[in-house]
Parts: sequence; structure tokens; C-alpha cells
Amino acid sequence: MSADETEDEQGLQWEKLYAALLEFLQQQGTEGENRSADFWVDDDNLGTLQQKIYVRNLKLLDPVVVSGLQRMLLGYPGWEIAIAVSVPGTDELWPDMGLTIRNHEIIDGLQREYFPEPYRHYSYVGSRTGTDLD
Amino acid sequence: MAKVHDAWLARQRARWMRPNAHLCMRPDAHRFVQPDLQRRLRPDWKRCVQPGFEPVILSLLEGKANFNPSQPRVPKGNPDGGQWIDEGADEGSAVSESEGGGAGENAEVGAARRAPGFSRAKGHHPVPRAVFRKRAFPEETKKVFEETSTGPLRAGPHRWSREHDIYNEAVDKLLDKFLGEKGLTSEATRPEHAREFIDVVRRSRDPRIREFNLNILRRELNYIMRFGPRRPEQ
Repeated sequence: MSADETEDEQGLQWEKLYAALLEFLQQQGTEGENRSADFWVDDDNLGTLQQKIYVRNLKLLDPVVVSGLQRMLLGYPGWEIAIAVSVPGTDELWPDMGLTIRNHEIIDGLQREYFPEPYRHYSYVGSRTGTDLD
Repeated sequence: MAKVHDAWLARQRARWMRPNAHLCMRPDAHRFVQPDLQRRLRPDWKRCVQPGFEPVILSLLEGKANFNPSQPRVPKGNPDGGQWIDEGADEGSAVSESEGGGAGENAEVGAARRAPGFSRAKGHHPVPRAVFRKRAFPEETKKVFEETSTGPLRAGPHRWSREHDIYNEAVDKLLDKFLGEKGLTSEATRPEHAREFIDVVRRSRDPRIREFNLNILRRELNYIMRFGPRRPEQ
């Protein structure tokens, strides 16, 4: 496969996964660039095998939702979903943190000590602690 | 010096060395090679190397980073015959154009990268889809926003930072302000207004916008300085 074909394939897969993510997450909350919405799926395709979701409502970090996102990757080998915690009003208070979801693992970089009580106990099957550089 | 049979060597090469072994080598591998190693090599060392792989070894010994043996060369007979052709020159220029203001957005580059199945150019868009899709802009105006991008970024995937989320909010407010100052409704916004607004975004002094765009540019330049103007390998 030539480099151009690989790039085309990446673009097609990106579009499909982007649409699937939107469809799935819109059942869990509201989507939009406005930070009062629950989440935003990054609409920039940087040319890598990754999608990124900005979560403003911590309810979307529920293990059931995360597990649903992981299942969506089954048809996309090599792809990953990066979730960045972007709760309004915490920009200066909370460090950057998030999850990286892959087919075979979840990298957990959540710093739960910053979370209010109901969200501190989220845990993910098949996860390991790590950073966004893993 | 021990005499090694050529057929045996060829068999060992085929057995142990992948033809694309250079892809497994880190771009800065030359840093780990002793400076005087070339002097210590046996004179017939090229016999022990996979055919076609000698230039890679030589480049390492000479301390050249980022060598790609499949990179095309200028054909013989030309004044620059044998020189490497910079595969990523056009991509690099897309970024360097941005040095004067913003993150290197270039509508032509963005449009050229669009493949038939794509609805959107790759790379960072100065005006994110989320910001303009909720407004009733005419299709040709949306197209300008869709096609204006940096092109694919080499510096790697997203991390867990939230700067893009903050950027969107700032661009959304800037767009409201722009439309208000021009007295434009969404329906009356034409492609030239879109281009003007993209320019406003690029030149914005709002730290939420400027820092994000500059960070993209910095990451790309760092990548190019470290690895050269190549596309990221998937």
C-alpha cells in the first residue's frame, strides 16, 4: 500500500470512527464546542490513528461509557481514543489528565484526588496507570 | 583475517536482517555510534551488510541523522545528480509559511491534501468545525473553513491537554464579535468574510488563541529540527 493510499485509508477510518463516537456519546450527554456541553469530540484529523474527546462532565468517565468506547475500537486496529478531562472552571486548578483507550488496554492518568466524591472511585477493567506519553 | 564464504554470508543476511531494517532504527541512532568506529571496521565490511543497506551504515558512521535509503535522488546527468530530494519540502513550507502569524494554515495545502473520500482537510483548523457548523453559513463559506488547515501534523497525536477546548471557546466568541462588528448575519457571510476571519484568528493576541497556534508551530518546528521534514510513520 502506497503512502497516499495509507493516508486515504486513515482519513476514511477517521471519518467513520468520528461519526460513530458522536453517535455513541450523544446518547450519554450533550456535545458541542461550548463548554457548558458535556463533551466535545475533536474534529481535527491530524493524520494519526487517534481520536480525542474532551470531557467536561465527569459522568462520561463512567466505566460503562469507557468500556463502550473501547468496544468501538474493535473494528479499528491500531487506533486509540484519548480522553482529556476539561471541566470548566478547573483550568488553573487541575493538571492535565485523562485516559488513553486502546483495543487491548486503558491507560489511566486520572488524578482522582481532584474529583468530587462520586467520581473518585471509577476504575477500569484492563487499565494500567500511565501518562499521555505511553 | 578469517575468510567467510559469500554464500554463507548471504544466507545469514537473509536469515537475520530484515530488508526494511532501517525502519526499525531510531532517527538519532548516530548519537550512539563511537566517533572512530569507521576506522575499526574490517575493510570488507560491506560484504556483511544487506545489499542496499551500506549507505545507512555509512550515514551513521558519518554522523548523519534521519537517513532514509528509499528517499529519491536527483538522476545522474543533472548538475545536482545524486543529491537527495527532500520528500517533505512542500510540507515543511506549509509550516514555515506560518512563521509570520499563526499555525501555518494554508488553504491550498489543505485542499491539496484532501482525498476523494474526505469531507475535511487534515491538520489543525483555525476555525474548528464545532464553531462554524452551528451557524447557518452558506455552503461555500463553510467550505473555506473546512479546507483551511495546517495539513497533517508530524509532531504526533493529541495528549491529554485541554488547550484546544479552551481555544474553541475563544474562537467562538471572536467569531461572534467579528460578525457583530461587520453587521453580518450567518446567512450573509461570504467566503471572503471567512478568509478575513481566519486571518483575524491567526493574528489574534488573545492568549488562548495565540498560545495554542504557537504551540502547534513550536511542536512542528521541534519535530522538523529533530527528525527532518518527514511524515509521521503510522
